[in-house]
Amino acid sequence: MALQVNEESLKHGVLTLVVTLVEVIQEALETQAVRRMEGGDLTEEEQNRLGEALLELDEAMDQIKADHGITDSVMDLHRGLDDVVNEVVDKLINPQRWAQEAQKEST
Amino acid sequence: MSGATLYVYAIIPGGSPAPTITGIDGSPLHTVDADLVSAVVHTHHSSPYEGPDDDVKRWVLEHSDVIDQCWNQAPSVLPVSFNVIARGSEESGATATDQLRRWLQDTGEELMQRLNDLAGTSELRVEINLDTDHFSQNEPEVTALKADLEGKAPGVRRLLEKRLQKVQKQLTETAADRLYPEYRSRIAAQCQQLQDYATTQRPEGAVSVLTAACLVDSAHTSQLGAELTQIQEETPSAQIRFLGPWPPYSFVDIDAGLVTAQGQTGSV
Repeated sequence: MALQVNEESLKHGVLTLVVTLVEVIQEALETQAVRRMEGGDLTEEEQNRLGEALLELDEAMDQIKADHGITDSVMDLHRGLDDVVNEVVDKLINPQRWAQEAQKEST
Repeated sequence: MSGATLYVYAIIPGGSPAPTITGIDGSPLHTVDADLVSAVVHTHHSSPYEGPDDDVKRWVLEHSDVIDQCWNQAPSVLPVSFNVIARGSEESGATATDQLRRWLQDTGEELMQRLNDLAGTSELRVEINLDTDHFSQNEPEVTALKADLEGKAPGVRRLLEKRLQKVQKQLTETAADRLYPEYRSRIAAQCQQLQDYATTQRPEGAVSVLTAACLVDSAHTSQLGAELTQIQEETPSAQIRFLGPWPPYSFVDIDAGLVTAQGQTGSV
């Protein structure tokens, strides 16, 4: 079967993916920044600079999402990724799930 | 493959009234009858239902409308999953009706047993979440962090707010873990059966404590409601959703061995 790609929806999809990945990276940065703040590694001046950079990134991301009408699709993809990660972590740390998987395979 | 297939909606006890509404896309419904049980079906001439999300949503709703009507008319019902289609056999030349009737005949006792078990019951779904902001508002760590936010530069506030959210979430998650066994046993005491299920919707600004499908005696659903009211009064930050009553979708528990049009095993 020939794969038909609509150029507009391809752009939309790629942009959604890129913006979502930037959001994921931003979250990782925030987590790291909060950890350092809790550990007392950052002066108040450094905290403010880091926080302001994050605020600017928030604004830029909101603007890009609004300009391209991808706010909802980014939210959906972000949630989807979170669910995948949650499921993997749940499977890795929860021995009950291993038993369930084994049972599923044997039936 | 021989001729028309049968799209199956539900299994009902033999002699129950057939539904009076139409099925998916207005298809006329009829029953295929065996000694003990009947299947509610429509004659299906195309492939399994596939298409855009909006169409699928409409088909699933029409499918469930049929099950709802069966449930209201018959003493009990075994709902069949969406898109289960019985087909004829190329080898033996049996029609879809022959095949389905044979299956109903062969598994009739098991199906009837389950129908009897489920008679007079309903499924209710309970979702309990804790609002992170509300739950943690009086925790010393949270009030201290909120006080810290006052008068700080915007950049520092940005980080402190993130930290506040993290602390609120951690405190609420610890409480949710503590409350889960208690709530579960209190709710289970009002049900014939209780089954936890994973929800795909994560609550915004809240932590999930429990999501459960409950099989209850239809005449006593208010007892479960009263228990939930009690929980709500004890824990004002709990957000409780109480959904249903529905046919007992989550408690059918029969591996039907019914072959669908895709050659997969269908389940009721």
